[in-house]
Amino acid sequence: MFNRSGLVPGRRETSRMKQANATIEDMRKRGVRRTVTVFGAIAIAIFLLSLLQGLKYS
Amino acid sequence: MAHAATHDHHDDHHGAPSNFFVRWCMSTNHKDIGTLYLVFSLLMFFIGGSFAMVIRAELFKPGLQLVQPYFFNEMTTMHALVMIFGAVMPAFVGLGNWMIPLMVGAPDMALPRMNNLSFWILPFAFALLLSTLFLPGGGPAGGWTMYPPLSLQGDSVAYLVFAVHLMGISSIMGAINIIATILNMRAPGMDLLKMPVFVWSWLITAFLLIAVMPVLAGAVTMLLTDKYFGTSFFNAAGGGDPVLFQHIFWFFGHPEVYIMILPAFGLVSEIIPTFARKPIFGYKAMVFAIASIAFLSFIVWAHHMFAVGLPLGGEIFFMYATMLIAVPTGVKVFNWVSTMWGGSMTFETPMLFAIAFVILFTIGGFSGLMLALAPADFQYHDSYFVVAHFHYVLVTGAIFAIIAGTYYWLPKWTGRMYSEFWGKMHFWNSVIWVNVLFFPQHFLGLAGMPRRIPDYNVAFANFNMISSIGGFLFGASQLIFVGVIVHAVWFSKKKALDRVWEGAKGLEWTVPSPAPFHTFELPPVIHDEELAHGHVED
Repeated sequence: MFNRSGLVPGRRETSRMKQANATIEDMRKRGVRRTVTVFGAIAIAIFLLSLLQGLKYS
Repeated sequence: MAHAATHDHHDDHHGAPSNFFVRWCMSTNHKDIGTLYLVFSLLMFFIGGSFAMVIRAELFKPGLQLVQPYFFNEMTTMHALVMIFGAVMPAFVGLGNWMIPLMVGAPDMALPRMNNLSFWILPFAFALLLSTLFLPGGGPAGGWTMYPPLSLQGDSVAYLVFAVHLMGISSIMGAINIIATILNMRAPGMDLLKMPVFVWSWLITAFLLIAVMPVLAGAVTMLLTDKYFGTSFFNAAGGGDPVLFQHIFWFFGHPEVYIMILPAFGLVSEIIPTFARKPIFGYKAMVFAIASIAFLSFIVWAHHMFAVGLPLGGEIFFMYATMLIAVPTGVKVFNWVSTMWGGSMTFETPMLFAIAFVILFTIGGFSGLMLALAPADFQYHDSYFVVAHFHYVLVTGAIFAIIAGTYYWLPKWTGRMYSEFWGKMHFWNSVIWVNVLFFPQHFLGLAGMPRRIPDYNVAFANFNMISSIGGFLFGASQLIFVGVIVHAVWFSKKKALDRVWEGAKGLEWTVPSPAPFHTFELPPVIHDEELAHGHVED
């Protein structure tokens, strides 16, 4: 993953900015992980359901 | 603007690898991956277009002229597969990749490595699919709908199924990435109902993709096992049912149509307000209309199967449900017109394509309403009327919107203005010849010419000749498009401003042109008045 801390090399940051970005970054990571898990699981479930439909009606 | 302060020109291209292989093959940068998608889709557009040229050349005159019937069937099948999965869908993913992070103030897509994988699956999928044309036994020739038992007769079923699986995996990963980006990566202050309509349209499209691509994967997996593993999902002799495939396929296939048109709605909803210099009329209504169309797309699939022998109750339900789609679609068309009404309009190339979209897509929508009438569909079914209908929706709809979006954002991508003269030449040639190409096909269909045939009755000769001439010239017109892009990327001397268009609003116009390799590394400070939809009250 690229550097999403908000820091461009050579740019100074304040401690407040560092703290705020770290919090946002943590929340984003958790949110992204949850989103991928939920929608990945939905995609797999729909694939299996479509196969079950095939079994049921054939 | 305060948020522009996040950019330091000194650091604009920090991080862009100088090694060609590393930059383009191992990229995790949303802009580079967006470019890869767009270049790939342009290549596929010309490959699919060359198949269309073969079809129109064969149909130029009655009688078998140039190709054998089996090869003709391969061309119709591959033209559709390449255009749908290789040209239109990747083009929208490319536009989404490039623009969604810029529009919501995110530094990149939520899952950059998966983004790379999503793209790089595609060239392999299409190499697999296109290679079948050179193999003994030939490529798939049973139509892009892959109806069994016809589609199971060829030797390329495994290649086709594996290619479709790869495309599906790519699409699902891309969709998850887009949802994760929009839901988790928006800059503070970018509320859902302040997002650009293009972002909304992609969010809803991504939900559709996740819901239906696995269904296509299931359908083709069953085709594969029927062909090679002795199952009888769709084989009547073994207790299966070929109509079951049609139900499963169209449960995917109809939402797929909206997957190809909803992002086009979003694009046009960005372009028209810019060149009318007015906010979009009824922002919330536009968003809810897209969501309504997406919902309705799940309950109309059997309108593709009216002629298959459905129960009367089913025919009536699917007829009315299909006609219901005209309501939210009508809302959108009226809102685009209302946005233009009283605006200070100018007619740069993106706006010309967007206006052509509104008019010509509406024609495609009206012929769709005609096809939705179950009793009438018995006459129109499998005729050239259907071909005319869906080409108005997909060519003058989806592809015109993609072209409009490309002209709209090309200066932001390249930092240089394209040639407005040649852009307008491209537009007028496209809009004239596309109508010469497809409008006569309505008459051919109403007169009874079936689709997917290499030969036809002499009674259909004149309209077919006109259609073919339109086809050749429309195809040739697209070479102007390539010329305009090449000129803008490498030769144009006219620098683009950061806010390229006078009436443009939104975060993407606050970054420099060309957009730096990394943008919004610090979340931008968002001022509502600078967003296109910053003040949504009703």
